[in-house]
Amino acid sequence: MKKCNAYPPDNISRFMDNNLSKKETLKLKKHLAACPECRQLLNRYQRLEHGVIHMVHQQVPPMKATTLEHALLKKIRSENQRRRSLTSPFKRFMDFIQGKKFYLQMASFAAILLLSTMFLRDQEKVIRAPSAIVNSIDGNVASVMILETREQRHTIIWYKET
Amino acid sequence: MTAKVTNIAARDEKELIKWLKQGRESAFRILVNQYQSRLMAIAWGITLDHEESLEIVQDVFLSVHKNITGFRGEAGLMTWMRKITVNHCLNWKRRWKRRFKWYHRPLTPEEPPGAWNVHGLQPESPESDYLNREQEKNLMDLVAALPEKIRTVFILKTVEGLSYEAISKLLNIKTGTVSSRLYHARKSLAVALEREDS
Repeated sequence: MKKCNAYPPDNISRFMDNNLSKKETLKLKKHLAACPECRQLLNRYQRLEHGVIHMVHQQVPPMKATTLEHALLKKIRSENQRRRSLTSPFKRFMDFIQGKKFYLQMASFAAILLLSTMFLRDQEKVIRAPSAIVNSIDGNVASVMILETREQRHTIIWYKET
Repeated sequence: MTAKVTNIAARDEKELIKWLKQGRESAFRILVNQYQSRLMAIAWGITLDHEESLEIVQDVFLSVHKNITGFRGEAGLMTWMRKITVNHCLNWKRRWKRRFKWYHRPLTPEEPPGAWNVHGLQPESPESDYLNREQEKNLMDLVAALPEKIRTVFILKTVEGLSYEAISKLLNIKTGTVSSRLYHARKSLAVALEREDS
């Protein structure tokens, strides 16, 4: 392996990818002409790259319109069909009704309805705080009667002046 | 109609995208024919598994079909599809499946003699030619042994010839990271091959 320490070790890799500045590239080019170790390393990297490209192309030969295309088109057709069916509101409604999810939706709806009814009924039982508190009544009052309505629980103050 | 679409669309990506958005089957056929080999090369380079790569490429095309209406065309079809391919390859479910596969199967397939014969290499002597062939035989194992993150960068650079900037954008990493991963990949492969040679 490379023993030359004239350049940082990744410079040859970057040089290969044309990722050095112009100045650095020129300097390294000159160095490569004089240093067999660095030249050998560059050559090794290039061979590796060619080897990998060759390996990939051997494993993945140019593909023809074969099974992949047919399988894809089949899937796409069914997808298109599904999309078209979704665009019709009537069809969508029918699918919803016919679908198994309908029962689940209905059960959820019924549960929500039941719970909200129970909640509202409980709410009615709660005695709300008074809207006003009468501490005293000024004036000449002969008698006072405090009444409460049955349903709404409104308080009515009835008094008789002297 | 199909033939007409084929000829025009092969030349003009924008038209192809337009037809894809219209849901034309012929346009999709062109897309598959034009890009499947390139996408397969990327997928295979990362996964090193033919069946899985086929599955990934199929998923990529389905994803394109599903999302083409939202595609604005700013980056180009190949850039978009390359990104989807890499994401699919690095998907954790697939990664685990692959690890399991590799664990249960030897990495070196039974290849006929000379199957790894090298093109494009210019040997300096018959001896170095012999060494290169030997190295090639082991290359797949060595590439497979690279960490996936490093292999992905190496394959995108080697197979697709992408710039450091393009890779950094694609993988959402810094260009410095791209550079160091490439160096790491090359160094590891070179050292491993040298070790096997000696």
